[in-house]
Amino acid sequence: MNRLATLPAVALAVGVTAAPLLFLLRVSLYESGGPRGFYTPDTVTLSHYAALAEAPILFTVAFALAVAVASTLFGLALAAFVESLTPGRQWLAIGLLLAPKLAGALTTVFGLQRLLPRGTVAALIAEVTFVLPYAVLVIALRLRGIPPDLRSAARGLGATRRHVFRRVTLPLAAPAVLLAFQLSLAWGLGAFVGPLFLAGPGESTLGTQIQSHTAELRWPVAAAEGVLLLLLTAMVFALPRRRGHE
Amino acid sequence: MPSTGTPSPTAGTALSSAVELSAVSFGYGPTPVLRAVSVAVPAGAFVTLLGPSGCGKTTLLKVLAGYISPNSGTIRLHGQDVTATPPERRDVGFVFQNYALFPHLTARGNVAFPLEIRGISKQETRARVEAMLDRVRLSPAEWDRHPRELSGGQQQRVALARALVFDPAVLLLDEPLANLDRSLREQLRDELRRVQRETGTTTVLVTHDQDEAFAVSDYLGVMHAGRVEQFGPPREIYERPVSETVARALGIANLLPGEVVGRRLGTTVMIRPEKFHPGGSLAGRITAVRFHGADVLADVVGENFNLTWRTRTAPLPAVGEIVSLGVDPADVWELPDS
Amino acid sequence: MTTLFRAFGWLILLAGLAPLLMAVWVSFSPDSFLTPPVEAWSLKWYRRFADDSRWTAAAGRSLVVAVLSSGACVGLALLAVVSNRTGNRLLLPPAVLPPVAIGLGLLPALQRVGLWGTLGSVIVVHTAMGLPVAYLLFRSWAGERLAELELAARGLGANRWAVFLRVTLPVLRPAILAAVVVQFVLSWNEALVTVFLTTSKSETLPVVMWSQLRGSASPLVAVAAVVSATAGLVAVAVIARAFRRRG
Repeated sequence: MNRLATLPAVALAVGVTAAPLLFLLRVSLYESGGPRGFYTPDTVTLSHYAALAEAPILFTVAFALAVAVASTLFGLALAAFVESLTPGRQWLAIGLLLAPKLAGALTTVFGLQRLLPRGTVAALIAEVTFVLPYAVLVIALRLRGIPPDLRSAARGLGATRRHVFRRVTLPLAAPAVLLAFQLSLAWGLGAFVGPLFLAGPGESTLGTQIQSHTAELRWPVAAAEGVLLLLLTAMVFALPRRRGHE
Repeated sequence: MPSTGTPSPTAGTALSSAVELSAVSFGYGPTPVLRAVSVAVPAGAFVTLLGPSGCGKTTLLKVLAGYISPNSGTIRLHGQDVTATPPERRDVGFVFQNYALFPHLTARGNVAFPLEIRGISKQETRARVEAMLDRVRLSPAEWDRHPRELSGGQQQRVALARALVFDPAVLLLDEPLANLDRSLREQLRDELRRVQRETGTTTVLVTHDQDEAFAVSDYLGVMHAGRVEQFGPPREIYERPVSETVARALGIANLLPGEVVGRRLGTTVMIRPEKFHPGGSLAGRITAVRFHGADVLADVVGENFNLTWRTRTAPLPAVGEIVSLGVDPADVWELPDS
Repeated sequence: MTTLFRAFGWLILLAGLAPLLMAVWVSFSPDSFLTPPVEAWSLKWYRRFADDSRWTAAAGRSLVVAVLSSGACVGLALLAVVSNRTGNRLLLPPAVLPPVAIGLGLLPALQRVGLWGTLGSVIVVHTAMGLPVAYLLFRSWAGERLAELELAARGLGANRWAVFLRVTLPVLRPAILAAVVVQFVLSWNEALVTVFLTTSKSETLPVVMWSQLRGSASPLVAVAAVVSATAGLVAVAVIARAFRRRG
């Protein structure tokens, strides 16, 4: 199987990522075409980027940070919990963890609408529900890779369970915890299902703004916001990643 | 083809060589791993390549198998140049250190694999598989088990059977006994030799364990830093090593300045520890004694030498004792170029 | 690991089920309000769902897209894993970029090539979005061991095709089955990007749910949720059977 066999997959992945990026950049630089099209040609302007000053950037970032912190903390706790279970119970726990994904985000949204009052908290809970399973899996996988002998050795040297967790488990799991944080932050930045359906009337994120501008056919504004969102997401992954110890 | 005994000691005659490496070199970028290695293995012989980790022995094996292409040099199998031939057409059986048994196939399935690839009929395959599993002494109860249900020793037998079932010209083994415990290792070592004699397959085994090398080989190649330093029958290399490295590779070397035993200044001699006997002119104090079951190793420190003495005759040495050791001049080997 | 901690753990996991259970409960509501039934339970909304061509057509499309994109996604990811050992970082971006931005950008892109609104474009996009997950699943399952097994097979005389069919595929089988299930479920429920890609003629089930949730919702949304969850469970069951059959 020569190297060419990898080409279709890579081409598709790159295409689906690059094409939107290029088009967003292009559309964001022109005046809106309104109902006639995405943009009016030959009307290059940076006004939409200037208008970004009005965009709810702070709220989006704060919301994303809240999602990331909550997901990482709960993710770590749940991962440790799952790893401590017997194999049979582990399968059950993972099944429960992934069950909300079976029916999709909209089902979770629908259910939460019946259960909670509108507000940022409800939106936050929704987004954490979407992101948490991945955080748990990323961290749990790493925890599984830590040789049990290390913990036994630490206990033998006098460490209590708490010590072992703080000085052995956590440092070794750190790369995965960081990754979980980054992923949660990235997904939190793009959050729009949660805020759209569950947040209060005045609360919007970049994601919901994009959606409403699209509905109003104000494509370039939406595109500029999209570009900003992509930039913020790229920044999350530009953060230096500490290489894990083996 | 079955052999009738150990092959002739002229391990270098191209005509009788089943495997011949000529000036094979290999390296990753600037780091050389094999430096112009030339080895000739007679047909039907059991050859062991011995060396510490990093000396290039596994790389050499992989070059022989075709998994690695050398940077220069040629490989001949039974006279044919196979340097450019890919592994699947090289007619070589390879046993990996971790056995590499297919987890989704039973023992039978694993051994049948190369025959099925070659399009051999189901009946013939079955017969040959069972004959080979019999030969490696795997009990029929295990034949339909998957690798994960087999012990380490059983897995090794299956790996061996799989590598031999298609009658390869050469059998290559990469530290096959490394993952087994001691008693199992000895038992399987002997089994390996038995099977090899029965099938007469030219065999090259790679190991860092010198006991293993001695026990089964017709010829021994001692490797160090990408070169084969010496190649020959084990006894010859043990008693007449060409360098200090080779001397140390095969056991305690007792490398002493020549003058201690009456040779010229500037020479280095090697005396194996079991060659000493009490009653001689090498006087020293015993500083440590190590019990090894069948015999005892004693460290002796003299005025201008340190040596280790292996003995099993009473009275056994004790720490603190003063001894005078002697050695037969025939057992004193002067290292070349010293 | 104290008992309190354990109890808390199970509690959180069960809490995640609450919204789904709520949706199931509401789907049996006898009236048009979204209050869960307590005294009278009814299958009325299930019947309405089955009679409503908008919903059933959307469900049908979701099925087609899910099946085709999981097949394509797993196939492409398999080819990538098999041919290029050194890791294909390029396959990862679709998973980490914000779906909103991807959807928004794909709209004009697809319009430009005249493919916007087609079901085919949805299948292709879903396939692309599933590639990172499938690829990571294969990578973490295969590891070094598979490479060595393939070497062994080659040494035993198998050419590249034989190695792929007789060693690579069987060894990767559990991961392949898992990847199919994962992609099926993710594709069926994909809404964020799909809303940007579909029209009323190509809408999938989540897209219809979306528009209902934005406007005035009826228990039909709850029924749709139950249908989606059932589709996912059926997929898991089918794959679990295949897994056990020659495990």
